[in-house]
Amino acid sequence: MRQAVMHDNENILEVENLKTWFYTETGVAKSVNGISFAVPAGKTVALVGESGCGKSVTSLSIMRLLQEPAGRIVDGTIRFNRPSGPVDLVSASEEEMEQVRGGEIAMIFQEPMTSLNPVFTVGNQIDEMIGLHNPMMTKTEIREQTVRMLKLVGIPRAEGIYKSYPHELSGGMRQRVMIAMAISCNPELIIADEPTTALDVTIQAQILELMKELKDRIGAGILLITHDLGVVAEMADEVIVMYAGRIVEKGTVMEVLLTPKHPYTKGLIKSKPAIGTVKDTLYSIPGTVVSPAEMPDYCAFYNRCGQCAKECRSGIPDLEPFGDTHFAACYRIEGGNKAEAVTGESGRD
Amino acid sequence: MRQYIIRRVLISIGVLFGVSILLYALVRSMPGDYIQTTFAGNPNVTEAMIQNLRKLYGLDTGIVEGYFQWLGKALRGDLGISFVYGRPVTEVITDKMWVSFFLALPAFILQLLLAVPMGITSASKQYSKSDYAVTVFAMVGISLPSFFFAALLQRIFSMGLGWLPLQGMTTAREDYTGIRHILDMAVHYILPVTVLTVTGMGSFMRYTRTNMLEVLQADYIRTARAKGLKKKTVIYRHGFRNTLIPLVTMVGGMLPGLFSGAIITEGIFAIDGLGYTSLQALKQGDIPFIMGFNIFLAVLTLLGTLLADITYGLVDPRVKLS
Amino acid sequence: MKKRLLAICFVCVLALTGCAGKADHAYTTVIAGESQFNGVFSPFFSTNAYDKHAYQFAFDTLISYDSQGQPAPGLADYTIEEKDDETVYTFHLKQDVNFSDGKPMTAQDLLFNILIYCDPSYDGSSTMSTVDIVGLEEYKNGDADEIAGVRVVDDKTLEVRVNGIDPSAIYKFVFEVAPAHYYGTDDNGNTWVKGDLTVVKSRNDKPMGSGAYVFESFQNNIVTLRANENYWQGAPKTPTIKLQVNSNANKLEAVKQGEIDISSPNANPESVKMAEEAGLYPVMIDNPGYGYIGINADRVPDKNIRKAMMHLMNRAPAIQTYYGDLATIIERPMSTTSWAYPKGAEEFYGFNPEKALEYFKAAGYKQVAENGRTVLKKDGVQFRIEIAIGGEGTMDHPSAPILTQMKTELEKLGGILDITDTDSAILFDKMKAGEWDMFVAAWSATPDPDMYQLYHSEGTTNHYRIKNEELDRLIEAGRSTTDIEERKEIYAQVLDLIMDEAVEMPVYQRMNMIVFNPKVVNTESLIKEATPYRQPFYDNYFSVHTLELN
Repeated sequence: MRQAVMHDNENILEVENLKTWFYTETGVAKSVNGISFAVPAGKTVALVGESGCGKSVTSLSIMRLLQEPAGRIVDGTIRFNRPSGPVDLVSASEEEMEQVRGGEIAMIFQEPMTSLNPVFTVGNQIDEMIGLHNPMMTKTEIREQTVRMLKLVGIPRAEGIYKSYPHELSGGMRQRVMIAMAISCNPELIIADEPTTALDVTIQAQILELMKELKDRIGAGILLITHDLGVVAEMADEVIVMYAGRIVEKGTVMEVLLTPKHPYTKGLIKSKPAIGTVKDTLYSIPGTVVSPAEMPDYCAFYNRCGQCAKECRSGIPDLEPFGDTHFAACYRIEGGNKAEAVTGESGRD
Repeated sequence: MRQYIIRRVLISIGVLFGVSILLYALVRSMPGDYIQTTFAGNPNVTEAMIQNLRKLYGLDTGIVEGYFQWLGKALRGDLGISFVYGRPVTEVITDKMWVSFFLALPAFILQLLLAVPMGITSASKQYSKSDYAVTVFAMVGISLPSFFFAALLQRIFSMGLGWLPLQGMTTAREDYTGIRHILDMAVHYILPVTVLTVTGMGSFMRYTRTNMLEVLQADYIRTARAKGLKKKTVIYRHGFRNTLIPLVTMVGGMLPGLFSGAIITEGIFAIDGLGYTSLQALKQGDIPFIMGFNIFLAVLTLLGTLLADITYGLVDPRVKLS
Repeated sequence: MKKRLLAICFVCVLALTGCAGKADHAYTTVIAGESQFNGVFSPFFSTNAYDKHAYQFAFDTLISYDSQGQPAPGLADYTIEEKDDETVYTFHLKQDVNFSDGKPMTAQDLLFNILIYCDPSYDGSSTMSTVDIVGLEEYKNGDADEIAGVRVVDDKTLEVRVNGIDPSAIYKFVFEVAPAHYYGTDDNGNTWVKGDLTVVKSRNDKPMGSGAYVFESFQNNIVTLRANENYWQGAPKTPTIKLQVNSNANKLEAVKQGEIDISSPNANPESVKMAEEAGLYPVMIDNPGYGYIGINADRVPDKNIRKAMMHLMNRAPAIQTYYGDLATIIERPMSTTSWAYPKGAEEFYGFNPEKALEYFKAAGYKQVAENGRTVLKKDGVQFRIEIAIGGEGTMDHPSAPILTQMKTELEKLGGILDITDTDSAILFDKMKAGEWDMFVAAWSATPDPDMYQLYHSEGTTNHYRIKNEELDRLIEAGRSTTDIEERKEIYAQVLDLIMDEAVEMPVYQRMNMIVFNPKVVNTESLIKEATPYRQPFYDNYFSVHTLELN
């Protein structure tokens, strides 16, 4: 793969102008349509958005696990700051990616029920991963490492669980196993794709606790994909808000959650029910997301925005800075370079 | 596991009873009986002789009475004397089932050896040229009627090129013994085994392919790739091991069926197996043989399903047989 | 290295198969193809013609047929004497004959054979027990240990007395002589008793007799017979005869390939041509039997209607199409292979729709015009009749075109013919039960032309349901004399009467074919004038030992 130069050497991952499109019979779905962000080493960056906004596709693009030939990265670079020197993952070959996956970038998936192979024991599956990236280790050493990992993620009776099959474990236990597997090779970056979405609320809390603990211990960067702002608040250092394949707002957790600039972000926050408030009806953003195959060449939020005006149809807005670290892509934000906000006028058709 | 097997065997016995009743009723209700087909063409046969024959062959009883007579003897292991073959049914079946078995077994093994890898390749390279080629081949194999394919092979390899014998189990003109005899039989079996293999391969291939495709869509395959495993390892270790479950189950289930004979192929190639034998018996209304043979088939089927379920329990850790 | 090994193996295997066909200087084995073996190789119990082919070379028959199907001496000479309401048959073994195990044949063996055929538990296909032998009734249904009318006169002479006159009885004595010491006692020393033939049946897989060949084995679908060096007519010229199972589709091909030397494919113009083109030697033989179309007189009681239907049958073109020159149209319900067939018999009912209409009118039917069509009606009901044919659903039958033409012709006249194309088993079942108006079937001929069972009002196989007193009388007369000329005359009358009753239209007499490979078989040593009773190779009356190979 091509050597690259990190714009900021503190970053473990830099994504620049990534475009991942899906070529289907019904047309081209532009799932990820030009996004740029960075994950600083050791920090947790949350990627937020509703279903279909392209956040999972982003993670699969980084791991180069897209379903080819339908899905392809058509543009952009993904710079990964490897210990041996930064490289561009987009240009990497399959063999090269096989080295990166698991050993340097690990992934945790959403569905613990089905993400583990039912015919191999849990221990076997973790052993396999460790052995793959550490060819020097002996079988006993690998086994000991696996048990250590299982203990680390808070699994009781780790020796016994080592010999169990996935179907013998609960959902929460399985997710712990997935996490154990992810951290077992000391990756530099962990991508967690909705790790708690499929779990009970109480188990969710446990897993989040675990992840926070581990985050401090292992020092890897985390790209946390989620639609749950509560999780973001708990775990993340920075937040990226995606909508219709593009980033509409990004900044520190405080900035984005306390002072959101983009109408979409505002809508998201407003939609989240908060304990202690009394409401008759829950708020939801009116309208639906535009289909990725029918992306317009102007602001994609236009048909749902309460603040839009004529000029919003003039082109796709770029991310504008609102301070050092806070960016938003909208023509209608106060303090931005574009026209003043006008309240009340509906831009909906 | 032992309890499970015992329970299944008991249930099977019950099923066998039901099957035997149904069979007997059907066979006795068929138009024409053995006496008619065999003796009625002879104009010298008198009515008295026919009545006497009916009595001697046990065909003068009603269906219910006849069934219990048959059942009484069958429970003691006596399946009666075959009308057509003049020998105890059990003897005829045990003699000929091995012939059918040694014809079906090589074909079965070949089918698996060829079909499974083709199915896996086809699934892992879905929509590629190899996938289409394999699928078309499978379709052709399934659609080919065995008698047509047999005739084709005979025309090309025997009548045309003269490489292989036209039919039969051995070369009649010689008196081979020992190794030469075995080789002679093997050469005679080449064409019929080919027919059985090609016509049976297609469904195995499709079955493997379909299962493999399903498996490859699974989440744990994605996890395996995310771990950094080579594509080959993912397919052959993670994917295939899961496809193996329905495959092995099916294979276990088919093993007993190898004894039952291939009626058409055995007939065309004049192989003295159980398939052709039972067809002749059926056409002539040989009740003891038909009953005996069909019970035999029923036992084979039940054995097959039992084997399949046990194998399933052994091969899939998620399944507990109780 | 592996490839070379594979190649060597392959070549070895090919060489073996190649060797099989390569001729030694002289052929020592002749191979005949048979459709299937049931494995019941016993003259007593076999029900399958192919099993018979397999065992027949191991036996000689007591008496035999001549080429016309008349009885002739065999192992024994015989005399027939009528005295005191009885007919006495005396059989005298002509010479000293040993069975192939060396033991001599005596009249005791002949007695043994008859006792088996007449045993109350005998379930084979011989009809000897239907002959009214003196004392048979007491033997079959009573306690008698012996049949009073069967007596061993001396070592070589057997006497059989039959009540009354039965011209067909002599034919029942054409049987293979089985040795009493072998068939009456099994390998464990058990002997047979009246009413239990298990010991006799235990020999089903290994026949033994006095014939030209010794039955060696049946394995892998091949029967092996070796020459009996001590055969009383001299050692056979061909050392080994084998019979191999051969599927019908491949009968001719197998001979062309040299895998089989003799076989009997279906005789039709195509197969004959193919055999000749391949340089093979086909022999055509009349089939002892004939095809016919029958009418059930109970269901169609008006003779005029039956005659009308007869005139709508056009037989020649149909048979010509199916069999070409290989079949003949016959004019009387009897096989032309029988000595009783009236030579020069003329057509009784020609294809003649006008005559048919006349008969319909004589039966009371009128043609009326309805909706622009002609309808044949009587008492307001249209004429409708059904005919069944065993075409297995595809009208694959030589007589099929006759039916379709009948249907068209009847439609023209205004009637309806329903053709039911069905499976043979169903056809026979319903025919026996008398449930068809008309039916297409065939008879196989017996050497004796007596047709009591078929046409007598008391006959068991009288599917036509004829009840004609004159006919009954004539049939009874025919079986109460043994004078051939007398019987010929009677039967000529009988056949004419049956035709007049219009219950049976004889259609065709076809041929069978036996194909020989002249490379292997010395065709000069085969029987020249082939009849059903004198077939080349299969003739089991004392000539197989003269068969020579090249």
